Amino acid sequence: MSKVIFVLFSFCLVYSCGTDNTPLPVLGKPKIKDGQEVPHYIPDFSYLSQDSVFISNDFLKKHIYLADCFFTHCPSICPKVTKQMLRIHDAYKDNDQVKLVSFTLDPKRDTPERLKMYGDNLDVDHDAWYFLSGDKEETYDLCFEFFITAMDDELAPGGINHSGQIVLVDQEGHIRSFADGTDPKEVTRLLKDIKKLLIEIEAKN
Amino acid sequence: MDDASGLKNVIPSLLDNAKILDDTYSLACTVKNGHPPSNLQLEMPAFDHLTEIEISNIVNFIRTDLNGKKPISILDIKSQLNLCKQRNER
Ligand code: HEM
Repeated sequence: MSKVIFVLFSFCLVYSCGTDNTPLPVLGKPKIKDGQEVPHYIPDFSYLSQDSVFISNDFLKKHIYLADCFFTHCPSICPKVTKQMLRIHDAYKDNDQVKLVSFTLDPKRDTPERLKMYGDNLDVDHDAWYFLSGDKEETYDLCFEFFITAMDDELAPGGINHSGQIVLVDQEGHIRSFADGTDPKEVTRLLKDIKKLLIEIEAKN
Repeated sequence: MDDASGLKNVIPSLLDNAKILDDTYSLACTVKNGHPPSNLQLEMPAFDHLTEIEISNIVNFIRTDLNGKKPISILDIKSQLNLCKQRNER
């Protein structure tokens, strides 16, 4: 009997019984594109990076990416979310398939030079993690497409009220997973979801 | 951060921090008034809405629980806060 259990157990180790192998869902409400209903996708954008080059969703189609919305002066949740983005950065900085993208909600202060300095102070690989700045209102709208709310609020610390999700986007611009970036446990799950998405892509090729 | 470890060179760690280990440095003043940016663009926000007792609790939590140092009395905290108010020190 114990032999049977042992064999079953080893089988499970190899084939990971119990982990669920269902693919990640495509999240969000469907949109209408050219008269057809299509799953939610991130609309076109083109923003300036910390190296003053334009990064667009078209460029990101070669990669999967993790997105968040933040600003360097944010005294409340951003440092926590940034710390979790760093975890993902440290895990994937050498994997060109995975990029990190942080949109600043305060482009007036967060110029590319400043964002470069911020990245330097975080010890990040500037080819793995893009800090993007563009038009402020457009950024608020874009963050909303990632299901991240952002609005000016005098009462909020730093003057901007926003949520701290980290969002996983696939090569087609669909949102496949997200986590509350202030919660390390959720981000541990997100790290697993990234792996899952990479396996899904691998299987397609 | 929850674990007091800061954020790389953006926000300093509260563990093994030279200023916190230095008894001539007033942590109470830093909590109350914030900290100007030094290495970078960011400054630490002031927590000037805190009472002296709250500041004392924070300072002593950081000293004892996080750094294994002796607590300092509320009277010492009070006089530090008076001094940094006079000098408008951060
Ligand atoms: C009650 C909690 C806090 C305590 C006890 C504390 C303590 C300190 C201390 C002792 C310093 C000077 C350390 C050094 O120069 O090595 C400092 C600097 C700083 N703190 Fe805080 N801090 C607290 C909360 C925060 C928060 C919530 C933030 C940000 C949102 C923050 C951001 C900073 C920054 C940006 C600096 C200046 C870094 C530089 O030198 O450029 N601190 N803090």
